[in-house]
Amino acid sequence: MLLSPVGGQNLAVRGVGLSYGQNTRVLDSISFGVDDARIVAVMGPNGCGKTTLLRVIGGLISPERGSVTLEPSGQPPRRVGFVFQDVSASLFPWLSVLDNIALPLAVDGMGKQDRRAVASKLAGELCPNLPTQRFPYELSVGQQQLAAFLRAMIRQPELYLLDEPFSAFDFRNRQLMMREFLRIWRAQPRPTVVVTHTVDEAVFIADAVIVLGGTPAGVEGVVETQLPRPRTDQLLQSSAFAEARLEVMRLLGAEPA
Amino acid sequence: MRCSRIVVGVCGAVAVWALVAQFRLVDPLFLADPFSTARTLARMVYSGRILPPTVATVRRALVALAIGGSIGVIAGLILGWARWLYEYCEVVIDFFRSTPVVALFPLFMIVFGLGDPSKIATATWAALLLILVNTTYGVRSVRQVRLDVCRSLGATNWQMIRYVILPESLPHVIAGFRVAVSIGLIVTVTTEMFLGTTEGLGKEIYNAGLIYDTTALYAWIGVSGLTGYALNKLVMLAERRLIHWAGH
Repeated sequence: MLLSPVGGQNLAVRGVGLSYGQNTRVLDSISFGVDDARIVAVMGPNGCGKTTLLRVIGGLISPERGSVTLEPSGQPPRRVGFVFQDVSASLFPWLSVLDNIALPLAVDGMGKQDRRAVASKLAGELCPNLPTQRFPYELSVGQQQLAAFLRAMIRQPELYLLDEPFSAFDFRNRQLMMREFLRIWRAQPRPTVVVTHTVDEAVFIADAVIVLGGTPAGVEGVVETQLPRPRTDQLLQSSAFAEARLEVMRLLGAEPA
Repeated sequence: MRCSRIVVGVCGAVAVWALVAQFRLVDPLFLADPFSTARTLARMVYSGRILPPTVATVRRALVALAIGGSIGVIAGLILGWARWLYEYCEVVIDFFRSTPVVALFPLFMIVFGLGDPSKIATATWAALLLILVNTTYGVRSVRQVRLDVCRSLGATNWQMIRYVILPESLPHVIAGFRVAVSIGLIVTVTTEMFLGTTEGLGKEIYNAGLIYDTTALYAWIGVSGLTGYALNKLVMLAERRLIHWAGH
């Protein structure tokens, strides 16, 4: 797997299991690792527990069995950059976009002037066209997504977790948003887990694709794509991309044509 | 367009009123004509007679709104947050919400006496229940994902209240205030019609009725209507300034 130290902190998910109530087991002993500055995509059928797994990793749900730690320190992650699925709901409409981006710093107790300065600097460097003085509901979905990315990275988290970040976009805008995300991500890479439903998206973004399946969900298989970065649209036409894509589809149970 | 329709609507209503009065379609004892009503109103304004009762009524209603609002918001926040506690109180709250609040006025007169406190207490009770229930719904309408955002950042309970629960429930709280201001005024004016009122719109309306002074009666009804309208508009103005994000 990807659990070899590269320098920074690596995410280690070991034997994570979870049940709802007495009888419904959701996750069954899931283990994988994500190296620093690597992106892992998690795929699997609807309702298989991908989002649940993400919430366990992010500390929103404690696992019944197993552990989520950062290596080599062995501590559970404490600073998580979480991008939730329903982006427009996850932004706070009563705060300006700038204050939304700065929210994690407010939780950390930083003063208003300071955190606004940090947020403006971050937004200015990475998304200079983002209208940060407006309110989130005045922005396009794409701009809202960028604001959510910036909010997730502003306090330099130890890892990023993204729940279907590109599902709201049509094909063209999805390519655009994925490139934008990777560009922003490169400015501050961390171990990253992305939940997605789209094979192309998973292969395009990630270094490895983990396919979950079964009830309760376990790891069906892992595809390490080995595709070069930075990722460009040309990659979509390469044979390496097609091969990785085919392999993921096989794991997902699709019949290759 | 909207503005001209409003003007036409108001003028039309007054015109119908004037015609009905002019042609004596209704006994003048029941219906004063708009012009003598306006004259009486003008005299009341000119002599300053309009102010003391209006001020007294508005003051009672606002004091009730302030007391009932503060208690209602705090209790509503607590009950919205702790669902189990709400379940304990649910039937009691629904019972009092369904009880006509003026039914409690005689009781409050026994407890608080004939003066201001019993009137304010009755209006407070009405405002409190409305605002409490609305605040509770407001807290419950908080979107889970916004709480998740805070929890994923390691926010404390107090930070979640401050950054999510308070702003998210604010539209509901203000909607509660808007209803409470109208109901509070209704209750205040009603209680002022009872014994022991030295000043207030309710007393003026009741007295004008008692002596069959229809014009004065209509003038005072008009004053109470305008007062209610103004208070309502004031809350709506606050609403628009405070919650620009409504519906998002």
